[in-house]
Amino acid sequence: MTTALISGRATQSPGRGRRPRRSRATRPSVAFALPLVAFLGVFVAYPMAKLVQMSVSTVNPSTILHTWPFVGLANFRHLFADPEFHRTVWRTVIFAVVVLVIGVSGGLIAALSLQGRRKFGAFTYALLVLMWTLPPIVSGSTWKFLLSNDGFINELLVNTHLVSQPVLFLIDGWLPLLSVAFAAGWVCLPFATIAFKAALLDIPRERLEAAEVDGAGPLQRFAHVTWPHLRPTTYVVSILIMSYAVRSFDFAYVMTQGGPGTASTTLPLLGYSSAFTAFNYSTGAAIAVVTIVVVMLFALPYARTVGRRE
Amino acid sequence: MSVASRSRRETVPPRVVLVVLFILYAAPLLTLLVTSLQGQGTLPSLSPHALLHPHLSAFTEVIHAGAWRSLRNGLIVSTGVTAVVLLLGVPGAYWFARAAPRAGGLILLLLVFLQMIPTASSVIPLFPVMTSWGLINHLYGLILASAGSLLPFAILLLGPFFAAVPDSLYEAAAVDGAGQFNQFLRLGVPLIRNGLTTVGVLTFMIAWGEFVYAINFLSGPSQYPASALITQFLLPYRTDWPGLMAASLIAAFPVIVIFLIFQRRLAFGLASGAVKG
Repeated sequence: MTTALISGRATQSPGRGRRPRRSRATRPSVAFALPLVAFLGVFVAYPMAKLVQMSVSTVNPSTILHTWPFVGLANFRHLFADPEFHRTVWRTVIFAVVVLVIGVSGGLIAALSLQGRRKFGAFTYALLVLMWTLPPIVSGSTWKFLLSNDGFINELLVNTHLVSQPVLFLIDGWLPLLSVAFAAGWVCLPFATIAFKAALLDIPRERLEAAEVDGAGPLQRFAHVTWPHLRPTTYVVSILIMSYAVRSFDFAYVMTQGGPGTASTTLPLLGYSSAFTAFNYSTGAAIAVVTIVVVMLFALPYARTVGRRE
Repeated sequence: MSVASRSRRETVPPRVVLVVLFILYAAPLLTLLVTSLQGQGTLPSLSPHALLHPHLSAFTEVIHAGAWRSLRNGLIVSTGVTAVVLLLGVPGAYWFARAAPRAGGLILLLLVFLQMIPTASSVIPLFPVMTSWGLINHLYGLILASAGSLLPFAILLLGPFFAAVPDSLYEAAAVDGAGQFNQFLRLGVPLIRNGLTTVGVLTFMIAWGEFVYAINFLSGPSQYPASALITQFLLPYRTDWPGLMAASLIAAFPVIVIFLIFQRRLAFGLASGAVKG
C-alpha cells in the first residue's frame, strides 16, 4: 500500500459538507503545531537540504562522513550527458504509462462490474482491497515467483502447450519492465476501483432513469451520463497513479532489482543503485533530486484539486 | 432501492469480467499459501502430488532464520511509528484545520509534496544524516525516520476530519470555560475518533510494509522487521521459492488479520468520500 494513493481518496472523505464558518475568537495556539513542525524540520526538511547539498558536491565512501567538496552543477551535467540516464527517463515514462492504463482502465471496468452484484461482488471487492493493503514486498515476491521461469504461469503455459519454452518474463528484452509495470498496475487497480465505485454511487439515479426513458441503451447511458460524471475522478486518480508510478521502487527492487542489466531500471532505482550499489552518493543524490522534481510536477495539480474541493 | 433495478439502468460489463478480476487477485494469495507448503528448496509445482503433500519445512526454515524476532521487531517499529505519528500529527492537524484555513493552500501543497517524496530517494541523504546522529543500527532510529516520511500523509488524512467539526462547538466549549487544551483533548479528539482509528490503522500497516529504510539503517537480519526479512530470501540465482513465499506469508499475516478486524471501518474511511470532483 502506498501513502500517496491512500490519502488520495480519503482526504476529502469526512469534509464533504460545507466548510464550517470560522471565528477568530477560538483560534488554537500555535503550540499545537510546534512539535510537529520541529520534527518535520529535523527528519524531513534537513535531510532534503542535505540531499540538495550532496547533489552539488562530491560524496563517495571516503568523504561521506566528512566534509563534501562543492562541485557546483557538475553532477547534473554528467548526468544529463549520460545516455543511460536518458534511457532510464524513457523507461520511467513507458513504465508510468503502462501502470496508468492498467490502473485507470482496470479500476473503471472493475467498479462498473461490481455494480448490483451483491455477494460475489462484495467478496471480490474485499479481496481487491485486501491485496492492495498487503506489503508491496509481499505481493512483489509473489509476482516474482508467478512470472519466473519456473513459476506457475509458465508451468500452466507449458503444460497446456501454449508455449514450448517458458516465457522469460523477468529476463527477456522489454518483458522485465512490462512485467514490473503489470505488477505495479495490479496494485493500483484496487485503489482506482475504490475511487470509481464511490463516484458511481454519486450519480443521480434520475439522470440514468431519464436517459433510459428517452431510449438510451447501456452504452449510450455510459457515454452521456456515467462517463461525464466520472471525469473529475479519472483526472485525480490518473495524477495519483502517475505520481505513484514515477515513485515506484518496491516492485522492481523485489522482482528484478532493476535488471537484467538496467532493463527494468526506472528513476528511483537508478538513484538508489548509484548511491548504495555503486557508492556514488552524489550521482545518486542528483538523480534523486531529478526524481523528486518530476514527482513534484504531479503534486501541484493534485493539491489544487484537493484545495478546490475543500 | 432494489439491486435488480440498479443493474438494469447502469452499464454493467458481463459477469465474466468480474470472474477474471477475481482470479487475478485470488491467484497470488493462493500461490502464497500453496507454494509456502511445498517444502524448503523444492521447485514448486501445480501437480496434484505437490499440492496434496504439504510440507512445513519452508516455515521451519524461515522460523530458523529469525521469523519470530522479525515479527517482534516489526511490532516494535510499527507501533512506535504509529505512536509518534499520532502524537505529533493529531495536534498538528488540529491546528492546521482550525487556525490556518487561509494558509491552507500552501500548507496543503507542501504536505502533498512531502508525502510524494519516494523513500528510495529520501534514504540517500538520511543515510549519512542518521549515521552522523548515531541513529543508525537502532530500532528507534528507524522509527523516527519512518515517522517523518508518514507524518505528511497522516496530517492530510486527519485534516478533513477536524475541519468537519463546526467551530460553534468549540465556541460553546470556550463559553463553558474549556481552555485551549481541553477544547482539543476533550472535544476535538473524541469527535474525530473514527478518523483516529482509520489513520492509526493505516499508518501501522504502511509502517509494517516499509523495508527500504530498514535494510539500510539496521545492522543486519537480527534487527530486521518482518518485511525486511523477506529480502534475505531474494537470492539472485536459484531462489528458494517456498522459503520466500513462507517469509512473505508470515510478514503478510498480521496485515491480513488487521484487515479482517478493521475491514468495515477501513472501507468506510477509505471509500466514503473517495476522489470526488
